[in-house]
Amino acid sequence: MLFGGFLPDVNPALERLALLDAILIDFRTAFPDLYFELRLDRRVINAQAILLNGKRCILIYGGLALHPMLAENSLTFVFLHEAGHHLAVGPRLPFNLSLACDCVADNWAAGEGSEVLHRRSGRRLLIGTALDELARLMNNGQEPELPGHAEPILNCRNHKWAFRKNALEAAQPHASIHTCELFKRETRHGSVY
Amino acid sequence: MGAFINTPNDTIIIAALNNRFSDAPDPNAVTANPDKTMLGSVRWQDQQEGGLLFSRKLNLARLAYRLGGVPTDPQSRRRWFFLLRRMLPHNTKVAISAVLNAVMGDSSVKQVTFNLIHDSTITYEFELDPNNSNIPQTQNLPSTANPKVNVKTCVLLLRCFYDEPLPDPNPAFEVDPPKAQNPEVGKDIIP
Repeated sequence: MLFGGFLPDVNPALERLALLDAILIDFRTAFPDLYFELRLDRRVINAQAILLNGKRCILIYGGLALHPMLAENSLTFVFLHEAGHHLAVGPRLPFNLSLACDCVADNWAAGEGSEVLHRRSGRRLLIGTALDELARLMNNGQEPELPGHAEPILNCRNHKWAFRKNALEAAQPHASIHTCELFKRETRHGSVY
Repeated sequence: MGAFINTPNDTIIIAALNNRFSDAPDPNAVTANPDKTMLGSVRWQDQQEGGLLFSRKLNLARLAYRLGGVPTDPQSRRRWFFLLRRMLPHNTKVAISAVLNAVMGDSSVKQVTFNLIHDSTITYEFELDPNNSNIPQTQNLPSTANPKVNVKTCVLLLRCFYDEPLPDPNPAFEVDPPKAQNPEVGKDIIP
């Protein structure tokens, strides 16, 4: 995420820290096989699922966790999306086959993941509220851009927030995804010497 | 990368590098090369250059151009090359080159994956995990060619203490501008 957005400052209010602690406890309870970590001193506006030393880790950076435009439901959705990368079944990320692709992770977060979270921890995701909160962030300069491309080069809905939001709002979360458009594109290319 | 907010330039770089160093079939593999995988083609190229592909003056920007893994828009490309040329600590460049060079000589490594995380616990602005080690870190991970099978994979993880947007070098004032004869100044950076 060298090319992502960064929050100018990360000075967390006590209320936000308490909220993040509560979310963290619920996720550790609901998904004990995953390792959740808050990296609040990092200003990058993002979160990440990654295998580190054989552990399925979820790193939530300060720029996102402390972003003033986000609140409880959007943060819960972010945690769920990242958990979905590790736990969802279906197409993989083309450049990291250990993780589910972004569309599948979104679907899992809004569907099975939120149900498991609620059943095991009592935390309920209000997906509409989460998407409204995230829309404020995405419409404020965090929308992924592909400079130099006048038109979308991928059908992957994850590359455009509007598509991603529409798909989740249209109750598509439970529809299965069979192919990852990003994967199809990347595996077409051969040598470029 | 598994990021919540997709950052296309990061994705382009990582996807291209992971593809280039994968065990997927290379449609453009040289006929004489018995290993027709993408990584096999990199090894072949290294052999053709006397084993010096990853040891020429640590010029990672040239390597990025030759092997793929470069953003498509000019501004992001300049930032990426500036990072590779000027921002990565010397020890990190040495580690990246040494690890890739070691992979060239170890046919048991079937693929290489590239990734990064943000980390405030390291001592440099950027560091190859762990501690700029020159030794390849391997895990058994799903094969790109056959995801149902795990293969020995070298994992290159860049830890970034650097915590702000990449600088935007003005081409006119770039400390180390591309040389005129280098193809990376042209528009067709990825053929």
